[in-house]
Amino acid sequence: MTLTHQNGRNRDEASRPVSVAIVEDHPITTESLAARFAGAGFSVLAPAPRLEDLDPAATPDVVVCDLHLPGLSGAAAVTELHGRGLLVLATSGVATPDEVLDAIAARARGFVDKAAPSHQFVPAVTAVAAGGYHISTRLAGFLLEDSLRRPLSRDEIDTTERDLLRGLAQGDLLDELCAEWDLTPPAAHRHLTRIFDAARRRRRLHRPSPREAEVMILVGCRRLTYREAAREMHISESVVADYLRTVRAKYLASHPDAPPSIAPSSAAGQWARELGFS
Amino acid sequence: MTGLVASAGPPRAVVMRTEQRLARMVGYARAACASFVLIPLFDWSGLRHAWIAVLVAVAALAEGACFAWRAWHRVGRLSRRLVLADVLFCVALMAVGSRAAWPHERNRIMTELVPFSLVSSAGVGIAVGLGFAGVLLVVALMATWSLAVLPDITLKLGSDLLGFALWYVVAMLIAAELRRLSKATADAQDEAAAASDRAVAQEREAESLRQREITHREIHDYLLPIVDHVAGGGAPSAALVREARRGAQRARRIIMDPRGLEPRVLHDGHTLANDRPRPTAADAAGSPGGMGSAGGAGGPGGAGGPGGLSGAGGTGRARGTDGVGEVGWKAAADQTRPQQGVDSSAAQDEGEFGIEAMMSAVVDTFTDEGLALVPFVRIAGEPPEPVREALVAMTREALRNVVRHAGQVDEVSLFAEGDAEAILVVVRDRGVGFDPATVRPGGGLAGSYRALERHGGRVDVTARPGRGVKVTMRWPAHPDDAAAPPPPLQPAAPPALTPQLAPISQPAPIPSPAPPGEPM
Repeated sequence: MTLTHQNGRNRDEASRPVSVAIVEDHPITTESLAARFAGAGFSVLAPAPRLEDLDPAATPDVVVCDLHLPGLSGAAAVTELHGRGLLVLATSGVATPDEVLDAIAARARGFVDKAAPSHQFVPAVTAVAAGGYHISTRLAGFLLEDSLRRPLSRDEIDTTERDLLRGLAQGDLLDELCAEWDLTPPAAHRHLTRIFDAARRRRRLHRPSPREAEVMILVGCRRLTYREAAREMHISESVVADYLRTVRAKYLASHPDAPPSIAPSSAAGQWARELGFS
Repeated sequence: MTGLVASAGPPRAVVMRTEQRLARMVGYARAACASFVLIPLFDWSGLRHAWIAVLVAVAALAEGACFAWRAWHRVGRLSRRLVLADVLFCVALMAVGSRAAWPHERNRIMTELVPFSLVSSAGVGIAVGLGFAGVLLVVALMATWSLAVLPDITLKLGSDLLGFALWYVVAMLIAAELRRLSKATADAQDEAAAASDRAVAQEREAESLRQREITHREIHDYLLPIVDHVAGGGAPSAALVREARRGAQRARRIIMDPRGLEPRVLHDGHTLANDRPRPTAADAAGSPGGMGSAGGAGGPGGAGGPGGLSGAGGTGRARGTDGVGEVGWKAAADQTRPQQGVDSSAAQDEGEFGIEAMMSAVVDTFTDEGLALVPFVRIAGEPPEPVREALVAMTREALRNVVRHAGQVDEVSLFAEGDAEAILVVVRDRGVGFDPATVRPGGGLAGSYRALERHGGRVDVTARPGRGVKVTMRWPAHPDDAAAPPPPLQPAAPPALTPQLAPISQPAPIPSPAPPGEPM
């Protein structure tokens, strides 16, 4: 599980323990995680119940970040942390596959189920701190499902990588799979990098563009008519309708459970609320 | 001194007992000192009025006995009235008793009245304490003795008078010391009682806080997302309905007993008592035998026993409910049963009859029981009905075995992938496992899997003690065929560790052109 790689931070492993910050609004989880990390020899920063509580000057090796936070939350929180140059390990007990994949698209380095026993976090943090990735059983299932449901037209993950995800989704550990298939750690790291990269690109294809987001807010959340929205954005009404059709197509692609007959404006509204645009 | 009795609050037991002891000490002294009065009788011939000496001795003995008796049975502080009576008696005793001797010998022969009367001074010190009344009584005693020996004044009178004063003072000091001690003890006792009250209250508060946290967590993690989704105008999807159903069950459970929500506690409480995790090979061999019932259901099922899809779904639900009963949800079972009925009808309404829906139902059943299940279910298309029946039944059995035998498991993964032509199902736990070398292959385990073998499938069980169990179900079973899953999926475990419980090499009933790895 521990994939050290040359791209990792320049951390003198012998002299300094891995430092971890926990951003999590639930005290029970924070306490048990902090105790587990301290037991593993990590140095744990003061817990932050909200992202805003995390010291902006702090430079932990890894930030374990819950995806449901008060204030800045989910993918937006991961983006913010990544923007500060921090490595993020996402966690959640209830996040939907879309929320988890959005977090991965926002450059989280891995995901661990919050229901998982806290000792699973230790190898995950170790791997992420070393510049690697961590794919839990659940994340492997999400990534595999995503790659099968929404294949990329080019540069999609190859058979080995898909089988790697299959093995992980079956509950095998990464180092078990590496040993079984004679994969060297650098090769495994390459595969994981490609898996995460493909997941990001796949997600980007299915996310609204900035203009589409604007339309989504105006029509979906503020409930303006097409004409009002067009006037607001200084475009023609038919362009607004085009944007909404694209939004609906992307929404349906990423929400297989949604009814295919959903109106473009309600798809825009639901998605906007889901993405926290409003 | 007197302030102590008048102090606020009810008299406390230790203070009362100390006062009682002080009173008894005076009682002992009074009784013992009565014997001094007998001594003048030994100088019978030297007495002026021997009968007075006899009278004094009898009266003093009687008074001493009476005083000691009353002091002994006194509850609490020495009675002031008793002490006052004692002082008056001593005054009379000295005034009368001194007349028994010749005037110039009073201070010699009848001096034995002094030690008797000194005790009275001590009684004043303890019962009356420092104050005008106490000093007055002591002065009265001193004056009486001075007058009693009047013509025979010597230096000895000085020491007698000093004796009265000192007994008074020393008795007060001793009483003060003991009273201070008893008060400190009582205070310490009060404080300890208050502290233990506080500790109990804190414990109760901590427990209620813990329960509130569990409740909070449940609402935050399981119910709020659903409500948020609906409030946000989210479309009701099958997944949402499933989550809502699960949330409702958890809510119902938390209302009945929040502690029951620790997932493994649900099982361990009962499982360990009735259904030990396999400690021996014999037990391990016997435990798969427990699956015989399912094998029976699965076997004929292939030939059309329980038959139809809805029938199979119903069986699954019923068995799930039994499982609930087994793990001892007590009242929960009553709640769950109608709920399950609703579930199955809901499932029928939604038309969830495919293998994917049936697998999801199995996932729901075990997740609701508290198993930490990580599922991946993606089966595009429908395999032949008997194959579906057998796969679903075996998956359920494999998961049931995890619940029963794997002990503490962190996570169980259920991986099901495939299409109409090929399916791979893997159930993997990292529980206690077992040693395949000591477990006899066959028995109920093989029996339960025979249905799949009959239709061209195959089952591998990989287990190691302490490393968990991996059950791999493959349909069709074709290691060499192109239709088989890609080689990495086939674990290259040493043969001893891979008991091939059902090595069937039957040809697949349906040719499978597409590898299951690429169902899209």
